[in-house]
Amino acid sequence: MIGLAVLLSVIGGLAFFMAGRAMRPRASQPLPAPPPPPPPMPLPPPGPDPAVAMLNHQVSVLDQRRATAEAETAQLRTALVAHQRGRLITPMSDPAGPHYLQQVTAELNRNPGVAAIVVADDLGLLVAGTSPRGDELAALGGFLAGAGDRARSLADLGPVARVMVEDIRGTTASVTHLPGTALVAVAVQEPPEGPRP
Amino acid sequence: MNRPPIPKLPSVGPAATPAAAEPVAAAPGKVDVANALSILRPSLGDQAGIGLYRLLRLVALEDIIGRGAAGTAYIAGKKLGAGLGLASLDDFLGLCAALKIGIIKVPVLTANRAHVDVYECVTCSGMAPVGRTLCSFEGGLIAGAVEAVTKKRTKAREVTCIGGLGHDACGFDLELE
Repeated sequence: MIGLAVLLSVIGGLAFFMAGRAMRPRASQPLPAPPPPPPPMPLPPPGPDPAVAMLNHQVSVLDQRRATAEAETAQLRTALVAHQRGRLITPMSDPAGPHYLQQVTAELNRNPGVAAIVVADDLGLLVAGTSPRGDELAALGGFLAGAGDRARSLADLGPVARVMVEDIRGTTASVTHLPGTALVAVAVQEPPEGPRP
Repeated sequence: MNRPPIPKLPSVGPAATPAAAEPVAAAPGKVDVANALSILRPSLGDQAGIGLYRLLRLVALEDIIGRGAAGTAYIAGKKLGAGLGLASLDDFLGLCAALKIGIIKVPVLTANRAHVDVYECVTCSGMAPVGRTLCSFEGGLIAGAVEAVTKKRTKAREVTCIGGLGHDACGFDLELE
């Protein structure tokens, strides 16, 4: 019995000794190399990917719709605010409006005696006209329209139809309200018989 | 973004004094730009509130002239913009930044048309919409400056307005002939 215990102790001691040797640190050996990186993802084949192209197309279409919607929203907001404030404005966003007025003013400009004619809004800003001094004439329109309104209140007049300034040669600058709109026509005309000396 | 130096306006700034200002060559009784910008306020300096500018521009001027003040302001701005002696559009952008007219962006710029957006517009930003555009002076200023730089006849039309119509920016469509 005692012999068996001694034998087991010897075997245990040897096992403990061998385990210690096996587990000792080995400073001289290099650290194990890190695992190799995973192979890169395969690149898509050259050329347009149909799915990507389709998504790009959809993004483009939606961008266009968004731009159109934003433009329409801006126009509606302008119209809404103008309506709430009681100001009648011309549909400047409608390309046919100014174009038509442009044609009319160009035609009127060909009449004898007409030096220049433009259409301005009630703010004195040019709406249509081909005169090189169109902006100035439009500003004159706004100015004289304001003077007409002032004269109306001071002299107890009715709604103003026309305001006219005449120089000593008979040349006139007139501002005529266009009924039903917030526009005025500004015309510079010479007398039919020609300027006075 | 590097910008070229702002073209020097005559006699701008608190250091300007009547003695230091350049000789005033305006017609008798007329106040020209140089004289108007000769500022001598030792205590208060050369800055004042935007409110004063707006009261003058939007209230007093329209009270004197009426709604047509917008057209007159456009012409005045255009003459001023053309007379600033700017050499390039970058000069103009620099001037706008220096005068704090607003935050200027130019999303469209071609040979014959451009679009200019003015955010935080000095004239109208923050106002409740009044139903019409308000910034004709700025439009004229832009048109005059662009006309002077490009040598092309230029028209500006305000199509959006912060305080006038409730937009995000005051936008100007420019046509260069």
